[in-house]
Amino acid sequence: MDVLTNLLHGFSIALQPYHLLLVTLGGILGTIVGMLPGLGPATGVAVLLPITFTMGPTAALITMTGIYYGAMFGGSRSSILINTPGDGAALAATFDGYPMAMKGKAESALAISAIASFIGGLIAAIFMVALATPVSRFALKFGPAEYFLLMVAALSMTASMSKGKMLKGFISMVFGLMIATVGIDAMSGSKRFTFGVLELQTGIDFLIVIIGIYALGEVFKSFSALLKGQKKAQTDFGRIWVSKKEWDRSKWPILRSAPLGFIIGALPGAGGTMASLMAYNNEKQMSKNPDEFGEGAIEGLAAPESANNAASVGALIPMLTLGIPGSGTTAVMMGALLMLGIQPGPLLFTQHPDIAWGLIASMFIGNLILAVVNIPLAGLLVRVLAIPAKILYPVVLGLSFVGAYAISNSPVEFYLLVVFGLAGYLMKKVDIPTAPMILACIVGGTMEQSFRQAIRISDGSLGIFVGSGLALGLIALTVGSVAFPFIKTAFTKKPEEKMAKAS
Amino acid sequence: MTTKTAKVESQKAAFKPDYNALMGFVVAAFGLVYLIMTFNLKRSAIGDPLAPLYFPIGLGSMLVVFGIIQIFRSDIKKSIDSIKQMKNASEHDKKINRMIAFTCGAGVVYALVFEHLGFVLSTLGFMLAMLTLTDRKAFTKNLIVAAVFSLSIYLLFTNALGIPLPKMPIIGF
Repeated sequence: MDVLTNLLHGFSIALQPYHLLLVTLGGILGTIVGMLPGLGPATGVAVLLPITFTMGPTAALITMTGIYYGAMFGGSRSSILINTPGDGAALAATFDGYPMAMKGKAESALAISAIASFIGGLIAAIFMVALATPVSRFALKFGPAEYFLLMVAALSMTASMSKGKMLKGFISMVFGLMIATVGIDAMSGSKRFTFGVLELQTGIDFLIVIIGIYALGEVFKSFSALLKGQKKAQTDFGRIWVSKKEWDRSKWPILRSAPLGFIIGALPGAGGTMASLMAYNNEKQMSKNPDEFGEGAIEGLAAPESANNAASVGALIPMLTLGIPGSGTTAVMMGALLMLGIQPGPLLFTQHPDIAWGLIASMFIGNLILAVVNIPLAGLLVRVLAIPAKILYPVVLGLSFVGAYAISNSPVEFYLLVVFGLAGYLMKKVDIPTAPMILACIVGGTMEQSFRQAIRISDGSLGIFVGSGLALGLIALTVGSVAFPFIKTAFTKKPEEKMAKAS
Repeated sequence: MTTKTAKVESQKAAFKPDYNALMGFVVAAFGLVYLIMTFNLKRSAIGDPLAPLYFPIGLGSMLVVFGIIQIFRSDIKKSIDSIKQMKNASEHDKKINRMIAFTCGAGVVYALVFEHLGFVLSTLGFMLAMLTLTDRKAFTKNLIVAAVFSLSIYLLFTNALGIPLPKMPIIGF
């Protein structure tokens, strides 16, 4: 009953004309940015961040989630039409979406991707309503030691989930934590790694790191595609809708994939890409006609689209209830909230219920608005794909620099932006995942403070980190997350070895 | 001769660079430098003098260990070959590197002149440089895009969003 009252209160906030306008505007902008190859939701939110600076925290968060969902909706448009995913989460949409478009079914593909995204997002929002309060209440039991261990667990999960490159994931994580140590130490007042630069005394703003890594790094990476030439997208369509037969084939995959996407999205580091790929494989295994997958099977598009939108809602759970961002995009959003003086975490629901519940209610409204925008207006929106990359990438660079200035009012940040842009490009080159670094960079400061607070409370004894059942559970989670990939490899190797021996 | 050139080109295309060992070395060296810098930090005047150092010491040590593990897990010979092959990079790769270097250089110049020339003028120059980098032939179009971008962003930020941006000298916007 409590939850229902809070949700109704949230709707009274989200349905205010100003917030409705913002979620629509954010959704459209996000759809456009998400559609552009290489520019995912994290880059979209980072680049469009300055437009939220003068808003209140509720309005800012509603706008950012609008951009986030919009980018998730839009990401699959370029997958379907030009076989180039807007971001990683839209990768699975290329498998069957593009073959559908090639077979003259672009209208059905665009419609089912929007419908699946809408239903996936809606189901996930219901889960969010049910889970947000219990998780945040549970998180109130955390002391500094448990909080430190929670962050260690979240970071190790993010690093370990970097498929096949766990060590590189951990290297990326340590770099992120190192960035967080720059500046005046909050607990002792000592200057660390400032090199005499005044602007570094306040530390390196992680929004600069994010814009550098995502926006500049992506543009550098895109120079290669720019030299190779741009693919032309179909921009004239018939009626964008699905037939009854297509709907019958898609409805169960959509409903099955949404809970899966939500759970995976809520795990730190897993995110939309993993959710959509798992949903795709799941449907392929369950299908009576697995051979059709990859050739334009509509369920092969519907399932990942539902899962990745559900994952985007799931990813907000750790950020809102625990104060730990689970993905690059939620990291940017958390950064923006911190800038506005709001600390996401368990107390958000009691101290700022307007923000928390207004946001949750806006998820329902935002999903509905985005479905309306993305189905009838899809033909109009995809014209963005006709913008020449030669103009698009310089515009992204320009927006990145002006965004960096808006964050700190100092052009010194431009140097850092260039450094992190280069770092992002080089990390991609040597295959180091960037997500662990971004997450570590954000939680690093709090993590160190929690560690030192715990040590101070226990008079220097490390025993505090194994002093409660919760702490032990978190240690087990950390160990499990590191061990899991090895166990999984060992189990998958055995049947292969047996087969090899048999042959 | 043509066959020989084609052979070299196909060998270049077939060679897949592997910088893992080099990366491990750089990571370990970075960790070591970070550790040395940590030990040279000023001690805290209040409480435990070493308190601000513990966390960085842990991080530096972890990075050194991870770097060393990376080196041992990698094919060192392949990394050396990859470094040697850098000199023979394809024209496409060289062009990308030049584009990235130009963008970084433009970013540095942009930072240097930003507050002196004001937002509109410095952004016009930066955008023109970037647009010329991606399309050299369309100067007039580039100039129009750069001017529209810098003016519209200036008006959006200062008027609609209330975020002040540096003004141009004399002209005052």
